[in-house]
Amino acid sequence: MIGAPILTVENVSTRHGGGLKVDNVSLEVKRGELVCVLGANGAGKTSLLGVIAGLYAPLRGSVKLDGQTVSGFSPHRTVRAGIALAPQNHPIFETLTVDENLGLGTIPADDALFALFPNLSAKRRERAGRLSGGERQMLSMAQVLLTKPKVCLFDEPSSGLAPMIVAQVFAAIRRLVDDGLTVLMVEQNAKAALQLADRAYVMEHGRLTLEGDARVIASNDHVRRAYLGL
Amino acid sequence: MSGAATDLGLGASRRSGGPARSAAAFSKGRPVADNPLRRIRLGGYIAVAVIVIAAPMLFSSIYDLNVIVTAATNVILATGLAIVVRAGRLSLAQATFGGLGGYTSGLLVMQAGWSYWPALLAAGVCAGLIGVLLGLTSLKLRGFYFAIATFTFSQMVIIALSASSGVTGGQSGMFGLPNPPPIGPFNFADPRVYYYFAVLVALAAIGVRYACTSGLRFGRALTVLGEDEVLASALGVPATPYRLAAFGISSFIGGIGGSLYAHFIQGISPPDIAPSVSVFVLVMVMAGGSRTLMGPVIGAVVLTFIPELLRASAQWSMVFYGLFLIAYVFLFRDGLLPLLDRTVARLVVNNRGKSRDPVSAAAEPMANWDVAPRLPRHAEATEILALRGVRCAFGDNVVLKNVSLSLQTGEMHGLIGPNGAGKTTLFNLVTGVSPLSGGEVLVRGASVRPRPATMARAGLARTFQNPRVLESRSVRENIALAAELCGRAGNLEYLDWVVDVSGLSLLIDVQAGTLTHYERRMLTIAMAIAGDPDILLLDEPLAGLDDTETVLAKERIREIHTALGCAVLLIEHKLSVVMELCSRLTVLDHGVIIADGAPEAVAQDPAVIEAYLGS
Amino acid sequence: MHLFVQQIINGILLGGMFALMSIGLSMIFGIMKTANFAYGSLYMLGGYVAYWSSVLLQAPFLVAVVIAFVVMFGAGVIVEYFGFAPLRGNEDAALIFGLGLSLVIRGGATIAWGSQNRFIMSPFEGAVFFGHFVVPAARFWAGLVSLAIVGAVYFMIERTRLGRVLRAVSDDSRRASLLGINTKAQFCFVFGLGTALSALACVFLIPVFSLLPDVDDTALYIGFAVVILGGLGSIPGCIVGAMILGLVNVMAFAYTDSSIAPIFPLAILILTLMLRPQGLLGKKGRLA
Repeated sequence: MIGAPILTVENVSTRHGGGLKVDNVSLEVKRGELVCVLGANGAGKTSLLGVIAGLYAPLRGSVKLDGQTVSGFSPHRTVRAGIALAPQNHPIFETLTVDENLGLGTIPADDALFALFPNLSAKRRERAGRLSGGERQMLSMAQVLLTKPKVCLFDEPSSGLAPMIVAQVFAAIRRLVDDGLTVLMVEQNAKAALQLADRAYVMEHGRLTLEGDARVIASNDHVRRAYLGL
Repeated sequence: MSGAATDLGLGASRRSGGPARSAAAFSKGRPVADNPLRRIRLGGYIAVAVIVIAAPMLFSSIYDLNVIVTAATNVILATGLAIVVRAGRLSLAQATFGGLGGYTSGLLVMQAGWSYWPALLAAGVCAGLIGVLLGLTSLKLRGFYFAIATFTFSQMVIIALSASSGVTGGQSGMFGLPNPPPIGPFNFADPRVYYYFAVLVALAAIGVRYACTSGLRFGRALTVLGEDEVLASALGVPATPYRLAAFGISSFIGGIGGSLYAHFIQGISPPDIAPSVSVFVLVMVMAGGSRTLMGPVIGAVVLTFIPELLRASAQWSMVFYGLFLIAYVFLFRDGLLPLLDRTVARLVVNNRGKSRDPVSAAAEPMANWDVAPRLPRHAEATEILALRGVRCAFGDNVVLKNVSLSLQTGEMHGLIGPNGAGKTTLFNLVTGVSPLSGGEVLVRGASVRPRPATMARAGLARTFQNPRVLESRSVRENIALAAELCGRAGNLEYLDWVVDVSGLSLLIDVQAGTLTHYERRMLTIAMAIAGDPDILLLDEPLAGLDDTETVLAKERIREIHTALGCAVLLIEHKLSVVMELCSRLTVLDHGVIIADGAPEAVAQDPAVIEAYLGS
Repeated sequence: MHLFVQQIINGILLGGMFALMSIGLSMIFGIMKTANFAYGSLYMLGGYVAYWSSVLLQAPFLVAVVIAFVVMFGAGVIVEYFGFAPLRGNEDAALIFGLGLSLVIRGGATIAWGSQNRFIMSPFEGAVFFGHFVVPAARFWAGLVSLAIVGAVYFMIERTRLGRVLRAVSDDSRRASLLGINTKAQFCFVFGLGTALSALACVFLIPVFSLLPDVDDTALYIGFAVVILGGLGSIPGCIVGAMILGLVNVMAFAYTDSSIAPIFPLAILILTLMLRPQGLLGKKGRLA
């Protein structure tokens, strides 16, 4: 059930690590939607998510959640407002156990969560540093979900994972969206992302160059050549 | 050469003044226009010199004479400490080395009957040697661990000296240390003579400091090390040996200064060299500014005089010093002298520094060079760099597993792969920064142990994902330093060509920190090729560049590669560029090579498509 | 033999006191990775706060302790918020700030209160007897308090949600803030608590180490010695390090000249830095 727009990014530009990383980007995500942003490395996708999550303040423009301006909030305030980011390369707290990683908030991890990520329930007492790549990704996502966000941001959830695990992760994301979660996802694996998403944007050199329904984007010639290897 | 048809239609003016540049030394550059600031600075130096010479007349009471002699010996200590600080480490033991010097010369003179002058030298040598020993054990530690180590060392020395009452007089120390013997008509019992002598020694110390910062190659390398350790390592400057030498020199000077002081007040005892005294010396260095020659001098003088002027007790001095440090950290972190400099500059010269012309470096056309292409490297293609079964592990974390790669002379070889695959780690391993946990690295067929200095001398140069330049120096200085430090300095015409081919000739005197991202990238490439490398490692040189800049940079890289004939290993994510430039591709994923060969073949390899391009 | 065992007991007790002296630094250095060179002077300040509470306010011992705890907690929060927090990421600057602050506090304390020895009426008089072995009551209680405090801190860090949050912040503060944790506030809390605990330690250890402005040097290098030897970031390491140093200290004083004895714990610190900078129980981090 896709509803009204909940997250709006308006004319955001950032300067980060040299150069204009995000160049006048505007996009919106509706409630219950799964939107993905495609682009090559260095296109600015991670920086875009970083701005939305509050890691950097934008040079220009604003980010609004449910009408409330959140750009310029510190990361933890942004989370309280309802936006949570699972960063690239699935960082987790390596020195804590899985249980402890999940026990950082006031809301405990419940069975529904473990049903979504069965691999994790077997390893609850293990130190998170020992987990495999796929398990880390799931733990990272689970942590984000426990903050009960209104909008979830995923930065390249498939990065560094074997294809089978990618399928699991993507299936979990789709299930969450079907259950009402709103997700903005950035991905390099264009093919899989487009099969999953409702809508997509294409980002190149800091600017959004294409936008539309996922299937429409998938059949776009330029996209097919550049990102689908066809 | 692609010199001909590359007017990129940007409407740039042709570079005026075609032929050969003047033969003036590259790093000196064009003569600097007369500048009111320079004249003021010169005036300042003259004023200081006059005051220094006239000081005993101005401060003629016995008490004041004591103060200026103390100030002079503090200058010596502070100048010595500044050498280590500029090399990137804070030491809390300088007063201790001074004390060791004082005790050494005191013991030699009073117990062993030496004449003072050899004893003075021995004081310095003894302190210097102990400094080297301490450095051997702790210079590899990070900043604050090193500070703790020096602090602990200070404490230990005090306890040792307090305990050995038989030899060193224990807690009350030694007294009755004689003044140095007269030199000709100059009698050291006269504080004025002592003062002038101390000033001479201070000048010598400043001279040594000069050598350790800009006078000698060693010094220049040391300052680069202090500014950016990673960059220094890439230029072939290994951190620990250089810092060790700096620490030894610094302690030597400290020992000399301490001995002079001890024989002036004719006594020395453990409280004189408590860790807090070493902190005072550090305050003098930081307060004056560790980056300039005169900074520690000003700091020492100011911080010796102000407590005297205020007739401050020891405790109030302590509070004053403490407040000074806190103010330093929050308000004027370069030190007083640069603050003064800036203030004067703003008052006298109205524009804030060099205003940048709006001409963009990107607009510099590539035609119209007057350069002889480099001689081709080798007639036949040989393997210049090889990795065989290389492994790189940090504890449990294995980043590279069994990687084998072959780089031929003159080849442009692309290294691609998803984020986190280990590409930069591979570069780090080859340059000696990351550990070689298994396998072999061969340069020109010979197995080597990758170390920064070794690899730089072997003709290896690299750039970094985040462009690293020496922010506070000009473009010219950056390139000149890079050329000099990697140990393969080319001639001046070559460096001029480097500047041209990187498109930086209009920016040559601009401060590196003010460059745009594109210009910084080009500067890092210029620095990498300044030493005429045989192997060039470029780590994502196009990251952060927009479309136009990417094309420009790509062309320059191609030009450089053709002209130099060096082997290039290129990490890049902009695949179109990689395909266009490289004759060979290697794909790295999760620490293993998953494909290797001609670009077209690799691009169609299903494993590559799945892992990297998205299936 | 009897004497030797007595020395062992003394060593363990001293180790307990060293642990008490260091637990605050262990928290600050371990969780926040901040080399707080002002730790010693804050420690000393805490003692003076308690002293003046007992003298000016006629407060009984425990009340003075509580006052010192609360006041120094606040002081710690202020120092962290205005001092170390803006300097986070620049170790050299934090180092210099700590040095500067320690000079100001120490100079100020000497000016304000003079350098004579101060005593608080402590309820711990006399000695405790265990069979043949004697333990001065003050040391005994200091040892017990140490154990209790270190145990409580350990429990908090390992078993409570707050402790998990602190460990997460220490592990990866960026990630923690992305999960809604207010890292700034957490750091202030840790610094405040660490400073407050050091105040507690100073008061309990007055009978043993006296209260002088230059007790800050002792606390500083004992603190760093314990934390570095035991291992950065490890509370059990704090106890282990403290015990070793306590035993070494006692043995050194018992069997070597008392003027040279203080060198031994320092020598151990330097050896640790040379050979195993991550300490006995510490995690191997980027120390070099």
